[in-house]
Amino acid sequence: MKRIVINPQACNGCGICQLVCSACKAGQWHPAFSRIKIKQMREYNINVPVVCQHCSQPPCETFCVMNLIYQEPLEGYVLRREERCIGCRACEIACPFSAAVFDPIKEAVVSCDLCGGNPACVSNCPEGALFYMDEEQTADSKRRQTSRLKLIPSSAAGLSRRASL
Amino acid sequence: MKDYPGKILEIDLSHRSISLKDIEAEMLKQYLGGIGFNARILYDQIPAGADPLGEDNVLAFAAGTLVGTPFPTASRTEASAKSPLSGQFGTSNSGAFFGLQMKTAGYDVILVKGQSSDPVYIAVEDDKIQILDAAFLWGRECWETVDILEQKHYGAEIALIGPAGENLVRFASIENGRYDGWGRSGLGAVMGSKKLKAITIKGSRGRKVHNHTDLLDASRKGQQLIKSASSYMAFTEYGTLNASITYGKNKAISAHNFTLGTLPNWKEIGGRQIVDKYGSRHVACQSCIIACGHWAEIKEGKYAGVKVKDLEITPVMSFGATVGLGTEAIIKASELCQRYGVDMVSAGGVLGFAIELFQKGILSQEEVGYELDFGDDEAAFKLLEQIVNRKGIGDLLAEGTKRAAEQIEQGERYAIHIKGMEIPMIDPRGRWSTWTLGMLTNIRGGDHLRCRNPVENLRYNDRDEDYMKERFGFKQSMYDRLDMPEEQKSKAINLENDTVDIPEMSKWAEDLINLFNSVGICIRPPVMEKVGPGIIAEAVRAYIGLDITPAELAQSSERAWNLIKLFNLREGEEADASKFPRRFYEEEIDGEKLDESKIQAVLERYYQVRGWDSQSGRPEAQTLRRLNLMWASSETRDSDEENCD
Amino acid sequence: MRIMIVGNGAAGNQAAASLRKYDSQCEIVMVDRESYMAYSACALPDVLAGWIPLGKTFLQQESDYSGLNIRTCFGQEVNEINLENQYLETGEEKYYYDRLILATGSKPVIPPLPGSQLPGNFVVKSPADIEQILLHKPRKVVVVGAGNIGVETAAAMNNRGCTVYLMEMQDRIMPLLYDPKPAAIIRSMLEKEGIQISTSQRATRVIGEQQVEGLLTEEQTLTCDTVIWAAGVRQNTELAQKAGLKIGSLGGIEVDKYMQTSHRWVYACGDCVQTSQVFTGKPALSLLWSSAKSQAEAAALNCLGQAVKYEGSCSLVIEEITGVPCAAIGLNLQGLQDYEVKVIEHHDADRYYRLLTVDDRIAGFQCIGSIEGAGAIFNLIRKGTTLSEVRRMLLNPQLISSMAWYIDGAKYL
Repeated sequence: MKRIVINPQACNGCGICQLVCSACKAGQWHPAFSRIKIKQMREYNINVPVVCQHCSQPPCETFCVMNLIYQEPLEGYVLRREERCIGCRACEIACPFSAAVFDPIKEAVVSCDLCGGNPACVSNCPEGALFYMDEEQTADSKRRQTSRLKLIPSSAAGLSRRASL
Repeated sequence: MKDYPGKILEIDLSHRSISLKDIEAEMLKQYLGGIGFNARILYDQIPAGADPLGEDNVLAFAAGTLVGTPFPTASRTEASAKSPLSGQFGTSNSGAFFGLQMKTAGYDVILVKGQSSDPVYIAVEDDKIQILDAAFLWGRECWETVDILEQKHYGAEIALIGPAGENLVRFASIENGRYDGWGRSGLGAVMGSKKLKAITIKGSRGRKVHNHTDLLDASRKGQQLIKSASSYMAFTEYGTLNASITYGKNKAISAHNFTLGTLPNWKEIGGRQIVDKYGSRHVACQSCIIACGHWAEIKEGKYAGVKVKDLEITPVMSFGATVGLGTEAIIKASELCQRYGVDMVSAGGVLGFAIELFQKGILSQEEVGYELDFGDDEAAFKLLEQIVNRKGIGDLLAEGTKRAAEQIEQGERYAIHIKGMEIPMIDPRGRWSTWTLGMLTNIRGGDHLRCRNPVENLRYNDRDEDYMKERFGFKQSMYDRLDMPEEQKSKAINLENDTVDIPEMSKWAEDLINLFNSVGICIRPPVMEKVGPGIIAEAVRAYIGLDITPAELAQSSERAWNLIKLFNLREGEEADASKFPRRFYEEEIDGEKLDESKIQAVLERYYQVRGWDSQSGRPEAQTLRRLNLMWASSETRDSDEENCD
Repeated sequence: MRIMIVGNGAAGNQAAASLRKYDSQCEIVMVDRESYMAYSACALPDVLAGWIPLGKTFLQQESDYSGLNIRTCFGQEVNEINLENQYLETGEEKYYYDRLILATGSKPVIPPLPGSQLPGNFVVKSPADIEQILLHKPRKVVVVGAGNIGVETAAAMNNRGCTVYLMEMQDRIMPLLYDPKPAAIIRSMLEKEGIQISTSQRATRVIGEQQVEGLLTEEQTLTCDTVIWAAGVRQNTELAQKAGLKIGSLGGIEVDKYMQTSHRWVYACGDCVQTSQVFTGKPALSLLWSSAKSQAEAAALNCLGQAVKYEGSCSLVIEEITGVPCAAIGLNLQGLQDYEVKVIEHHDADRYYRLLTVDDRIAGFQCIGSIEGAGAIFNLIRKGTTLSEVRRMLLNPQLISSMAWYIDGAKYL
C-alpha cells in the first residue's frame, strides 16, 4: 500500500503543499484547510509536514461516533464518508499523528485521501520532501513493523496484539 | 471581475477607531497591490510637510497581489510611510509569512494612522480587530516580544519594533517575526512614534480562486522557469553570499566605511564558504522554491550559542566590510540587529561613520567614552547598544549619518549616504553598473535593492569611458529568453557590441522590481532572470480574474514609481540630492574615482528615458498623461512650467 | 461457527463488523428488541438542537448487513439464555449458538419518584425518545443531571428556543469529567446563553395532573412542561443475571481482560460490562462509544480464537458548548483522588486548560476554547510518557523532527 512518506530533513517550510492541498480539496487557498500540515518550531528551525498515515488499526475509526471512517477493502486506505460528519472533532484528538483536520466551512473533519492516487502535495513539492511510495520500500517501515507492538495506534486505543503482524 | 475579497483595514490610534474599505477593480488594475497600493494610498493620506515622527504620518502594509498562491516566492509584503531618514517616501519589503496571514485574514492593506498616547499593540484575527495595551511589552527586545505574543496569539504572525523603534532611532526597523524584517527607511521609528509595539495577525478565511487549474499551471511554470535560471543552483546552496568574493575582487566592497575597496582576508571572512562552516538547514519563505536563507549556529568561541537565521550578504557587508568585523562577530551582529529592531545596513553605516571619525580625531575619546577601531567588535557592539538606547554619543548617532554629520564639524565628508539613507555594500568606484546608478535614482534614497539588471553578469567588471554601458557577456539565448518588451530590450541590450545600456536598463530594472514588489514576489537573481510580466500576468489573471496584459502590468508598476517620485518632489526633493557622497568623486580606490560630470550625464539620460525633465528629474506632462497621473501633477508643478494640453 | 450478538448498538455493530473483517465464513446473527437500524446515540442531542435531521443519525441500512452476510433479527426480545445448551430464546424462536456476545448496553434511569411516569418525562437514548420529545412540543424544560448528556441536552433545548433549567445533584456540573474550576467556566458559558443552572439540588417529585406541570426539589418548585432525565444509566444485565453470569460490584457484567464472562463461550462488551480503569486498576464502567467499539473488537477476536487483551481505554469526551470546543481527557481530580496530583493550569480571555500529572506522567487534561494540540496530549497520556521525557524530546531537534506530531502539544508543557 502506498502512502505519503516524508523526509523531514528536506522540508524548508515553504508551505506550497498546504496551499495546493487546500486548493484541490477545499477550493480555498489557505493552510487551515489543508490535510497536510507543516508543524514548525521556528526557534529551532524545524519544519516537518504531518499527514494521515492510513494506520492499519486507526484510532480515529474507534472514536468516530458516526462510524463514518472506514478502511477501503483493496489496499486498506483510511477514508471518510464526509457527508455524515457532525463535526464533534473527537477523531482530531484521537489521531496520534495530528492528521485529522477540521474544515470550518464544511464543519466536518477531513483527512488525507491521497487524492485518489496522485497526491497533489507530492507533485508540487519543490524540495523533494514528500514521496508517494510503497510501505515496503521505506526504511522506517521495518522499524514500524517491529515497533508495532508498542507504538501502533490500536494498542493506544486499548488493544494489544500478539506478534502475528 | 467579481467583488474583490480583500479589504483595506484602517486603524486610527488617535481616535481608537477601526474602519474597512473595499478595493475597487480599477485600483487593482492601476496599482496591482504591494508598493503600488502604498504609493496610491499614502500619496492621498500623508499631507505634504508632515512630520515623519508625528501624528500625520501614515504607516501602510500591503501584501502583494499574488501572496496566498503557490506561485513561487509569492510571500512579500511592502511597508511604507514617510521616512524619518530621508524625509520622503520610505518603503521596505519583507517576505516570510506575514503577507499570507494578511491575505487570509481578508486584508490586502493595513493602514495605521494617528498616534496612541500609551503603548499598544494591534491584534487581528479574521474580523476580530483589537487595540490592546502593550505596557507589558514596551522596552522588551524583539525575540522576547515574539515569544510572549506567540503564546498569547498562537499561530499568528507578528510585525514588531524593538528598543530602537521605541527610542525613535531614525533607522529603526520593523521586524517580521524573529528573523526577518522591513529594514530600511526607518519605518521602525514611525511605528515607535505611534507607540505601536506590534501587529499580530492570524487569518483563517481562505480566498476563492478565479481559475484553479490555470493558477496551478502558472505556478508550476514559474517553478520551472526559476529552476532553469543560471544562478538557481548557486543560490539555493549559498544564497545571497554568492557574489561576495567577486565584489571583493572588484575592490567594490564597503570596506572600512568605503575607504579601502577590499580587505586582505575578505575571502575568509565573507566568502560563501562560511555557509559550509556555520550554516545548516535552508529556510524558505512562504511558497518559495529557492530557500536562500540559512540557519546559522556558532558552536564555539566567544559567541558560542548564537543561533539565528542569516548568513546573508547584507550583514556580511555592513558589518564585515563597513565595520571590518570577523565572521562570528558578523553573525552576532545579525542577532543583535534582529533583537534591537534596527536596520543592519544603516547600523553598519553609522558605526563605520563613527569609527572613521574617531580614527581621524574628529570624535574624541571623551565624547565616546572608549576607543573605536575598525574590526573591534566589542567596541562596535557597545556603541550599537548606546545608539539603540540613545545613550551618550549614541543619541546623536541615532539620528543617522546625515543628521549626525550636520552636528559634527567636518563630519559631512565621512557620512556615506544618499538623501539620508546609508549606502550598502557596493562601492561604485570598484564596480559601476546599473545597480550603482540605481543608488542615485532609487526613490527611497541610497540603496541597491530597487534597480538591478536582471541579466547582470558578475564575471565582468568593465566600465566604459562614459559610464553609459556595462558588459552583457551572455549568449543570444539569454537575450531571447529575457521577458522584456522587444522595443525596450533592443535599446537596453546591444548584442553586437555585447553591451548593456545602463540608463535604458535601469528604467526597466526599476519597473520590473517595482512590479515584483507590487505582486509580492521576490527579487532574488534567479527570479529576476526568468520571471517577467508574461508569466505574472498569467498568474494574476488566474488568481483574481483580473483581465490584464503584460504591458498593462509593466505600466502599473511604472505608474507607481512615478507617483512615488511625485510624492518625493512634493516633499521638496532637490535635483542635486541625487549625488554620491563627495568621497566617491574625490578619493581614489586603487586609482579609481568617479567622474561627477559623467555621472550627471548618465543621470540626465536616465531621466530622458524615464520621460522626466533632464535637469530637475520631474516627470513631464506627457509621461503623466500616459500613465493616468495628470490628477497628481497639479500639486507638484512649478508655477512657471509650461502648460501642455 | 455461529456467533450470536445481542444488541444493535455501538458494541454490537462493531463486534459484527470485526467478526466479518477477520472471518469471512462464520455465521453472524444479530438480535435486538428495537427495530431501528443502528444509530448513533451521541448524535441525538444534535437532532434536539435542530442541527441535523433525525435520519442522519442512522448508521446502517438493511443492505449493509446483508452485504456483509450478517443476519439480523431486529424487533425481537431475548427472554432467556440457556448457557448449558447454548441457545437463546426470543418470543418466536430458539437460536443456537457456538459463541455469544452480549452487547445489551444500558438504559437511562428515571428514578421511581412520584409523578416520574407522567407524560412529559423523557430520556435521551434512542430515536424514539427524540421523536416523542419533539411531538410533545416542549417549551419549559427541566433537565435533571448535568453530566455530559445532560449538558448537551440542555444546550440543545435552549438552542431550540425552550426555557431550560439544568439541575445537578453534586456540587458542580459534569463532576465526572471536569474539575471544579473548568466546570465553573463552562457553567457560566451556559448561563450566559440563558440556561438556568443549579447544583447540589435533588429532585423529589414531579407534579401534574394529566402530564408534567412542574418539578419539586428539596428547596424549590420549578414550573415546566417537560422533564428530561439525564441522571445516570443502568446496565441492561437482567438477561445475564437470569442466566447465572457473574455481575460485578458496580452492576455491569463481569468480564476479564479477554472480554470473557464467567462462562467460557459467552463474551460481553459495551455499556453493559464492567472492566477496570487502566490508570488506577479499580473497577470501572466506561460508558463511551469508543470504549464500546474497542471492547467489541477484542470480544470478536477472542470469539474467533485469537487471544487479544483489552487494556482499557483513555476517556476522551469532547463537546461544543455554545460554539466553543471543550474537551476532557483521561481522569480528573475526583478520578485521581488516591494520588498526589500536580496541576498545571492556564486561563486567559481566549482559552483555559489544565494538565494533571501523577509521578510526572500526564494523567488528565481539560481544555476550553481551543483543542489545538489536545491530540498530542491525549497520545502522551495513552503512552504514559513522563513530562521530563517530553520536554527533553522537544529540546532535541533531531528527535522532534521525527515525531513532529507532538509539536502542537508543546504549548501546554
